Formats: sequence, C-alpha cells, structure tokens
Amino acid sequence: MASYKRLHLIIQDPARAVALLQGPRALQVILAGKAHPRDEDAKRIVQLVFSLKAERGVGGHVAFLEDYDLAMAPYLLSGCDVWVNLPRPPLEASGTSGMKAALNGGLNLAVLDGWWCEGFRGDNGWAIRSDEGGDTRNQDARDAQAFYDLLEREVVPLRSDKVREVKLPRVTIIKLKETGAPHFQVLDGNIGYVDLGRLEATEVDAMFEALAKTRAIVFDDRSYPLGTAWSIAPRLGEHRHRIGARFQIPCIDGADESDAW
Amino acid sequence: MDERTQSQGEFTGLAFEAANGTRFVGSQTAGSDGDVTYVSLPGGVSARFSGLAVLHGDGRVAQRIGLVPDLEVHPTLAGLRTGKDEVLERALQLLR
Repeated sequence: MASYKRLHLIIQDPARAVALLQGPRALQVILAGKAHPRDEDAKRIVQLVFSLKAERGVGGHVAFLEDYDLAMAPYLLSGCDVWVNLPRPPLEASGTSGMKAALNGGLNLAVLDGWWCEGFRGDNGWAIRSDEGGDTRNQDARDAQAFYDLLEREVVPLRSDKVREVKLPRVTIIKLKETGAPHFQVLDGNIGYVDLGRLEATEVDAMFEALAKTRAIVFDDRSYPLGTAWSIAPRLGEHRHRIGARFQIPCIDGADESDAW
Repeated sequence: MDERTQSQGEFTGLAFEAANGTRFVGSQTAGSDGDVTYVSLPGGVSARFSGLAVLHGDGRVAQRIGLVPDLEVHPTLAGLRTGKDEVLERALQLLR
C-alpha cells in the first residue's frame, strides 16, 4: 500500500462500488498489503476504505487480509480471478505482483504502467489508459470511471452461472477393457487367479466353483473391481471378523459418529 | 495391488483381509476411498471430496495411507521390458 497505488479509486464512487458487491453476480474483493509506517497518505487511504465497512451490503464481500507476507501470497496469487492495480503513471516501476498473478493464471485489470505496458496483449486482462497530464484529481476521477466501467461491462458479465468443474484426483480409476483375457483361471501349481477388474458380480458363483479345488487364490486388485467384494468376502471361509471396514461420518453434534458396515 | 488400487479396490482388500486374513502383495494403494461428500460454499462454489473416514475393521486408518503390502514387490524396468508380471509372479511364489 502506497499512495501512488491509488487504492482510493475503488471507493471513488461509493454507490457504484457497493452496487458491484450485490446481486447474483456480486464481486468479492480481497485487499491485502502494508502501508509504510511513514506513508501517512497511504495509511489514510486504508482508513478511508475501512470507513465503508459498515455500509449495507459490504459485509461478506470485502475482506482486508492483514500482514500480507510470503505465507499468504500463494493463496492470493493462485486463487484470484482478477488482480487489480491502479497506480498513478509513471510511478509504477514494475508491479511484480501483477506478473505473479498472471503466471498463476489470473487476469489483470490494471492501469497501463510498469510491466502491464509490456504484458497487456488485449486478451489477457483489461487496461486503463491513464492520461498523465493535468490535474491529479481529474485524472483520478477519469480513471475511477474507467475502472467501474470495466468492472460493470467486462468483468461482472464474465461471472458465469455455469458450473466449472476442477478435478484433483489422486490417481485415475483404472477400468479395464474386455480383451478376451479370462476373468478367472487355474494357474500352474493349482493356484487360482481372479482378475477383479474384469470379474462380473454374476460370475462369482462360477468362479468359486471353478476354483474350489485350488490350493489358494490370487485376487488381482490392480484396477477397479466391478462390485464383487460383497459376494466374495463372505465366502472366503474363515470369518475371522464380522467387520470388514469402518466408515465414520463426522457430525456437528458429535453424537452417533460411527457406523460399521 | 499397487497405486492403481483405489476406492472400491481398497474396500475390497479391507473386506478380504477381515474375512480370512488375505495377504497383500505388491505396493501401497492410493489411500483414497469412502464416499463423495458435497459441500456448498458462498459465492456459488460447491466442492466434492472424500468425506467419510474409512478404517480397517480393527480401527486402523485406511485413508491417505492405503493398504500396506505384507510383501512389498515393485515391477522392475527390466521386467516391464520383457513383459513379465513380477508382482503376480512373487504372489504365486509365496503360495507355491
């Protein structure tokens, strides 16, 4: 947070700012950063932004994360959709946080200054062309206007109601294709072999019949079984335990949390 | 079993182990079983993840750890090149 970053532009028009935080496509705003202890202007701007916190409709949509540091940065950089930077040109030397956001797949909405002059391609975010000349108050008013216009016309409509699915599988479930390989057979040494990825539930009886006289059975579990555990396990003979696996559901009231299958 | 053994594959191992003390040959399994739990979050975000805790019949944790082999066998590069199923071969060796 420094005064040249012009954080105050986001609340230049409070009514328009608050409107963006409402409705089905409401924006979520995360603010983070530190003002230099002697940067009185920047500290005042942060206070100004804070003064809007009691405004109706703001709660739950704006968060200020204190003590921005290395531990917090990865969450912000990898989780943000639009990274905003509104410096007063030509004071932004680079603006490396925006570069980091872009590398993490975020879109930048920034004043054309510093790295963004180079980085903006036309399709990788939005640019505000700030006129450096003249009165800074007028410049702020123009840039705030451009900022709200972009949010309302470009950013908010992109917030889709469609479901976007992100999958993080530990491994891919292996479903075997039918290749004509036997689903079960007797191998050398009178040992039975069952391919659990191919054995159908309807074949369990036939499998036990065919392998009844074998010395032992190898169940090949290196794929995704077809629902046969429930009919095979009870027939494995010894019945050492009544319970095969325990499933627990954490309940908020803490009662009745365990159920055995 | 190996890293491809997950979910129902792991439940199957748990059930067999409890039924007759089935021995596990191969390598540790995915450690990813249980139901699919849905959670709705603010902002129209919903997420699905493995919600139920899954344990061995005797109470040992199964999720994240997976099934641990009694006899650890990994395929070797040389074996794969010659088309051998070394994990199955060791299992058969154990039984002969």
